[in-house]
Amino acid sequence: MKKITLFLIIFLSGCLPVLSLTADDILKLVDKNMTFETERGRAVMVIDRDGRKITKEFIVYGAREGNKFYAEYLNQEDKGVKYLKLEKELWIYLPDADDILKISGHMLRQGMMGSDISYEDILNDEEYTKKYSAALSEETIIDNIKCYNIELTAKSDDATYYRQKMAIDKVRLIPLEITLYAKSGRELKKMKLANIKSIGKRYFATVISFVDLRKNNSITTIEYKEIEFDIAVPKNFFSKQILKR
Amino acid sequence: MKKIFLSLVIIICLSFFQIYAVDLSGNIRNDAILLYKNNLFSYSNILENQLILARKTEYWRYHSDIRLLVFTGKDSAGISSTVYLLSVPRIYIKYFFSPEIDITIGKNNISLGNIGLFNPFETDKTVNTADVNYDKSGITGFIINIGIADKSLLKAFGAPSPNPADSSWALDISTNVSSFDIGCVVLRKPDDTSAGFYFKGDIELGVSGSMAYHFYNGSGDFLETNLGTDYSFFDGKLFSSLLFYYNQKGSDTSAALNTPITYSGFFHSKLYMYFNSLYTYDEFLSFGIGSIGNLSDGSAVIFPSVSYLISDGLTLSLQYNNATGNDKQEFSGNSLGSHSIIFKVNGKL
Repeated sequence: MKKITLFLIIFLSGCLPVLSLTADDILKLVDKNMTFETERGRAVMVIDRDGRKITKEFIVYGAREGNKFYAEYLNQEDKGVKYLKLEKELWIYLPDADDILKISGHMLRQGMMGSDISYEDILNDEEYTKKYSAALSEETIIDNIKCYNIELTAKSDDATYYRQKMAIDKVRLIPLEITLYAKSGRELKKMKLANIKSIGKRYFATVISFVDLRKNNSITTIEYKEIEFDIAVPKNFFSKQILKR
Repeated sequence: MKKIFLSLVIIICLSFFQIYAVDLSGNIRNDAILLYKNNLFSYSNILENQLILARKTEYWRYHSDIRLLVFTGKDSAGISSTVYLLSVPRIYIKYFFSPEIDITIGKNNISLGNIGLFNPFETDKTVNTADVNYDKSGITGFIINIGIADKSLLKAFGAPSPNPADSSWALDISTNVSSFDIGCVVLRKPDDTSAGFYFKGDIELGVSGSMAYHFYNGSGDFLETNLGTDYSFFDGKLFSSLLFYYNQKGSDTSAALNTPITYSGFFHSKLYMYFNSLYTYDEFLSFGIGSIGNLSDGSAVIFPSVSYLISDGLTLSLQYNNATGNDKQEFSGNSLGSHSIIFKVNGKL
């Protein structure tokens, strides 16, 4: 009995390095979950400030190759307003003018349609492993779910947020909570991801909340009503001409 | 009998909209204006009801914009009156031959170059100093859009006339190079043909510019150009832009101020500036200030404003206009009113 116990202890000790993941391993798995070749979705965004609410509805298309993004508003107040992003450039289609306007790069820091989410937040879909170095810290529990705790530090100055802290679901490998920091260490925003669904090969949070910690009582929530990944998108879909359709 | 007939018409129209999925939307706007001019106060009210009918299918799109304007105020004789005006600034059909090519036939906005104030390629150069962003009436004709690549477009516009000499046409070809949108325009109007280029991009600051050379049928060719910059501060909460405009044909003296502009120009003088700044306090409240200045004579119109979103689609705004010039200057209190306060209510339908 003692020999069997000793054998098991030695065997399991040898397995532990294989079973335990490093911060980079975890981040790679998160990237694998959160990056896609193409996507299509329909979402509702609710901006809640001190109990007053504004609701926006839009459809989105995204493509990883060329860092492409298209969004069209469906709610009555903004109906027909469309955005197109190609690489780092952004254009807006204004239905009243039936014309396209280029948006200056500095305006990407603005909140999208008045929300707590900046254009940079929405349009930044690069893999975490490319922009950040990771360090593992003590595990945490969020909503009774065990999570890895990872701290990310930007590798270069062009990252939108210098530092991030992520609580990552240990089983589904998707962040449940992300806190975004400035270089000074000041907390800027907090994201909470909820209503996790299994879609194809990945897990996806269909409800994402943004809290701008610099404001009081302000929260923006995006709820995806429909989402599909790795779908066929027509050739030339992401073009300035398509904004006018 | 009339009520029954009208009810039937409304029911038939609503059924038509239901069957053919016509989208009905619009806007209602009321501007209450208190004006101080020539030592006198006057009040006027402009109520505008915009009705938009639209239908969108995979291959074509229909759009009509019908406006009923009710103006209440004093006319030039000083007599109080109410004026009703019905206008159709836009009505067109757009057909999509392919994902790259479409044609628009009807009355629509013609956008050439960088859209905005002091655009040398603007077809309608009237300026509403109380609301510089107020949209203008379209032009009847056709527009062909051809997408050449992801970021490149060719636009051709034509407004034929029974008398060919009165026809207008334009070509605008644009592309994107090193994060700059650049383009060339040729525009032919009955009394003026112009050609030039424009650009818009970023060098940390946003920069934009346009230049048009006019081959003017009247008294001599001339150059028209603008150059602007914009930037955001405090994580995008404060946006500011500054634009300079030069018109070679502008007058050097104040004598021309009382004469109508006969050539393709926005105002009378040579050199102007447009400044605009918007501070977004939160999703509901924003503060703005704008100014159009005549740098040749030193006069300006300054218009600070505050805007509040009451609910989805319903906005209240308060704007103050001040024309700083004297009798010998373009933006004078005597012509525009020294001070005015405009209370605006805007509701999207």
